[in-house]
Amino acid sequence: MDPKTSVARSPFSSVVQRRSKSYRQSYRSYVGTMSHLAYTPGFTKRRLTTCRLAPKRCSTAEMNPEQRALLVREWQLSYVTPLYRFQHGHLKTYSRQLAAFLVSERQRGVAAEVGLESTLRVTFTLVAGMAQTEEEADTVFIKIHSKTPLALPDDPQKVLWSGWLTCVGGDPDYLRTLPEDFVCLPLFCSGGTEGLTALVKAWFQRTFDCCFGLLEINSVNLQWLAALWTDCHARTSIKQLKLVWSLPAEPPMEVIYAMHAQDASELWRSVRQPGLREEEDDGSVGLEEVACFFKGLKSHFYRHFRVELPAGRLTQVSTALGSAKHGGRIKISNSSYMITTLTLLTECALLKMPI
Amino acid sequence: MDDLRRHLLKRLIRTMTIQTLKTTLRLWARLSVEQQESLDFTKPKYVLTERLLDLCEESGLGVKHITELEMVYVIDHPNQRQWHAYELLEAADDALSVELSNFKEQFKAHLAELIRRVSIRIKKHTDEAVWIRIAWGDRSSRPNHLKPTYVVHHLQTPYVFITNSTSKTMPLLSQALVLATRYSSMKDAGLSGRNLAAIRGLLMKQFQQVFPSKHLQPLQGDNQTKPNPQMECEQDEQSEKRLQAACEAFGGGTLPELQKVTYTLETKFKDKTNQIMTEREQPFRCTVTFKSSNILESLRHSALTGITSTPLSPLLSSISQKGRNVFLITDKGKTEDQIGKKRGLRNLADDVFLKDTIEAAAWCQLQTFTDHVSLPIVIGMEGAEQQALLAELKSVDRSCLEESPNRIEPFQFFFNSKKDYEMFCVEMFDRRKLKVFASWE
Amino acid sequence: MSVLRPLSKLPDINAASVLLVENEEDFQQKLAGVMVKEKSVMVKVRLAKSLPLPAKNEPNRPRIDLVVFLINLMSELSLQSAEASLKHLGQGYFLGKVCFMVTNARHAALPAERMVAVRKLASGLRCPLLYAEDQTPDGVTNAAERLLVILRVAAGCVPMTTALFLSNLTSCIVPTEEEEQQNLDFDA
Repeated sequence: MDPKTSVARSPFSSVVQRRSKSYRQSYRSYVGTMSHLAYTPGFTKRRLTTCRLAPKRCSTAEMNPEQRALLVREWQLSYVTPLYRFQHGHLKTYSRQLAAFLVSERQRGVAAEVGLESTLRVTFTLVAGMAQTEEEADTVFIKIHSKTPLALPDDPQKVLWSGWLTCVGGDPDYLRTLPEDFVCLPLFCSGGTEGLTALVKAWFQRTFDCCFGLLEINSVNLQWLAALWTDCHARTSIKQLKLVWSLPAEPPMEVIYAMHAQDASELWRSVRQPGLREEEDDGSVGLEEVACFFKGLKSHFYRHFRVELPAGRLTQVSTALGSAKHGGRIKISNSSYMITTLTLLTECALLKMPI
Repeated sequence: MDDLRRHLLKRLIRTMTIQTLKTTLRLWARLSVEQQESLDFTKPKYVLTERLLDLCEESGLGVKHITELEMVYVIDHPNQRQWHAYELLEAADDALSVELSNFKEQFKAHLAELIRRVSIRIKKHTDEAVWIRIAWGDRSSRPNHLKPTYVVHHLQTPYVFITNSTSKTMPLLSQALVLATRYSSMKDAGLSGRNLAAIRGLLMKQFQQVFPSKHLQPLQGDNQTKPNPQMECEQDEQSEKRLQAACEAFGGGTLPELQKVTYTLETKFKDKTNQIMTEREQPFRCTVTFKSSNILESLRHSALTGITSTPLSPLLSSISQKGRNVFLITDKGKTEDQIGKKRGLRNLADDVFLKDTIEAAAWCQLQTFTDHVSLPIVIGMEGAEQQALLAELKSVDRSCLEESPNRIEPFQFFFNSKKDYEMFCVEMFDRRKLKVFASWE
Repeated sequence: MSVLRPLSKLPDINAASVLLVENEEDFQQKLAGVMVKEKSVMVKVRLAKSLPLPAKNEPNRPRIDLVVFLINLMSELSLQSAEASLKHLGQGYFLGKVCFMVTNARHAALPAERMVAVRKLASGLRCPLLYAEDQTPDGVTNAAERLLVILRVAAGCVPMTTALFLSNLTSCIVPTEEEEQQNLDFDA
C-alpha cells in the first residue's frame, strides 16, 4: 500500500479545491481501510457522487462495428481489480492462450457446454473510441467461437460466448495512482453460459492476478440511470419509462410502474431547478433533483393506491435506451447515450472493487 | 393422420406428469383396464408414447379420441392456461330457460354457419359447467387441433370463460355464443388469470367473505403461548384496525388466486411541492401492474403490515368487489367516486334497492328451483333506465307501496311455486336481510 | 399526550423499561423475547410501530428509560418512519436515552447514501448507533446484550454512571471535511 499512501494527499486536496458544481467525484479513500462496509472515522470518508454530467449524445455515424456489437444483448456485470501486466499489444497471444486453456479444461471434463468435437477459436479485439481520457485503457472485446468439424468452411461460426472489459470515464486521479504494471479495466460484461464465464474468469485470474466479483446495481444507481435516461428524452425519444419495484409482502409482490415518456420528461424538467433557462444549464445533474423526481413519482402512486413504494426495493429500470436490473444485468439498446451509461457503471465497479 | 395423432399425443404427454397421465387415462376410459395396466410408467416418456400409440392402433382410436383425451386433461387441470372472462349482456326473455341440449344444438349450428371447417366437442362437467373445445380450420385447411380454444360456460349465468382465442376467431365465437344463449351481446369482463376456479369465484362471488370477529389475535402476536406480561404492544388497536380493514376489503379466508392486476391511469398529477406539474392540463399517463403468485393475498398482507395504508384505496378494494383485474382510471371516474362518498345516507338507500335486487338475482341464477322463476326486469336494463325506475320507486311513499304495483313491478321476483318463494324469502329476508320484492302466484 | 417525556413518572425499583420502535415489527419481537429473560434487572419491553403512542395506554405505561429505534437499512420506509417518529419524543430523551440500532448494514445491495444518512442522523442527535444482525439467534442475543448494557445505565441501575455520561462515550460521530483534512495533515 506504500506507493498509494504517498500520493494519498493529492486526491483529497484536489477534491477539496474543486468545489464547482460540475463534475465532482471521488471514491472511498484509497488510503488504507478498503472495506466499503466498515468506517474508521477520520481516515475513511466516503464522498458520494452528488453531481453528474448530463448525458451527451454521441452520433451513431461515429460508431464502429465493434461498438455496435455491444448493443446486441443483455450483459451480466462484474467488477475486476486492475490487471497485472496486461498489454494491449499481445492480444493475439492471449487469444491463443485462452483457447488452449479452454481446450484443456474441456478435456478434463469441466467445460461441458463446449462439446467434444467442435474446434474453439478465441478472438480478442480492441474496441476503439470508448476511452474518454488518456489514462484510460482501451476496451477489449472477447469472443469465443465454435465450429463443428463437419461444417463447411463457409458456414458462419457460432458464437458461444462473448464479453468485454472496459473503463469509461474512470477517475483520472485514481488511474494515475496505479503503479506502472497495472491496467485498470474495472467493468467486465459477460454474455453466455455460466460455465464458460467462470472459465474465462479463471483464466484471467490465473494470468493477470486479478479478482472478479459480482457487480450489483443498487437502487440509488438505478435511480440515477432512470433520471439520466429521462433527461435524454428531449433529444431521443425513450418511448416509455418503466420502473419495477419489489415489495416485501407474503407472497412477494412486484409493482411495474410504466409511464409515458413525454409525461415523465415533463416531470423531470419541472424538477430540475425550475426556472432554469437553456443558457444557464451547465449540463450537470444533482442527486437532490433525482430524489425530487422520484418523490414526485411515488407521491402520484401513493395518491391513487396508498401503497408505500419506499417499503420495497427498486429492481429494474428500462427505457428505449436500455434496461438495467438490480442483479447486475444491463442492456444498452441505443448507441447515443452509451458513454454516459458506461461511465456510471464504471464508477460503480471502481467503488465496489476491494482495492 | 397417423402423424397428427402421434404429434398430438407426444405434445400432450410432454405437458403431463406420470401421475396425471395415469389418472387422465383412467378418466378417459377408452382403454380397457388390462391395457392400462400393461403400461409401464417407470419407462421414459417417449417409450410410453410409443406404447400408447400401439394401444390406440389396437383399439382403433383416432385423432378424435386423442382430442377427447386432451379435453379430459384440460378439464381436470385447467390452471395451465390463461383464461379470460366475458360477460353476456341483455338477456332475452327465455335466456334463463336455455337447456343443455338446446344450447348444444344451437351453438354447433351457428358456429358451423359462420365458419365451414370447425371441429366442436361439447361436454358437461359434474359441476354444471359446459365445456366446449373448438379446433378452427378455414376454407383451405382442416381444423387445427394443435391450437384449440376452450370455452367454459355455466348455463343460466351470464359469464363465459375462454382460453386461447385469437382476434380472428373471437368475433365468430362470440356471435355463436350469443345466439345460442339468447343474449344480445358479449363484452370483455376485464378479468383474466390462470386459475379458472379463482376467476369464476371472483365473478360469481362464490368465495367466502369471512369477516374476523373482534376476538381474533392480530397477525404478529404470539397466539400459541401466553403473552409475556413484561412485553406489551402499544399499538394493538391500530393493528386490529388494519386487520379489519384488510379483511373487509379482501375477505378473511383463502383468497382466489389472481396473478396480476393492471391499472391504466390517466389522471392529473397533483403535488403540493411541484407547482408546474400540478398546473399542467394534460393527464399524467401511466400503467401500473401489480404482479404476484397470489396478488390478493399479497395486497392483504401488505395492508396488515402497514405497507398499504388503511383505509384502503378504492382502486384496490374494487378488485374483488367488481370482479375485474383490468381497470382504466380517468379523472372523471375518480370524481364520480368522490361524489359517491359524499352522498347522503338517503341516496345510499336508493341504491340499496338496486344492489340487493341484483344480489338476489345472482343467487337465484345459481339455485335450482322446482318451477319457473321470473327475475326482475330491471336487471337486464341499461343504467339510465335503471336509474329512472329507481327514481320512480323512490318517489312513492314507503308506507303505501302496495298501492302502486306498477312502480314495484320492475323490481319484483315472480315465483310459480310456493316452495321456491318460501326458500327465496328465507334466504333474502331472514338470512341476508336484503330489501327485495317478491311475489307468488 | 403526543410527546413522550422521560421524567414524567416515578421509576420502579430494580426495573427498567425500554421502548422498541420498528416499522416492520419483526426484529423487535425477537429482541424483546431475549431481553425479558434478563435476571439482574426486571426488564419491561414496550413495542411500537411508530410514535406517537396511543394516549389511552398512558396510565398503564411505566416510565420509559430508553427508546430504541430499529431501522432496517434495506427499506427506505424504515428510515423515513423513524425520522417521522423522532418529532414525538421529548427533548429530555436525547440526553442519552435514545439509541439507534440498524440491521442489514452489510447487505451488498445497500446504497451507501442511506448509511450516510443514518450516520448523520445519529451524530446530529448525539446518539449511539449500533449495528445488529437479526437473522440468527446469536445475532439477536448479542444485540440484546448490548442494548441491556445501555438500558441498565439509563435506568439508573449502575452506580456512578448516568446515561448522559455513557452517551458521550458511545455516540456516533461523523467528522466534517475540515476535521478530516486536519487529521490527515497531522498524520502525515
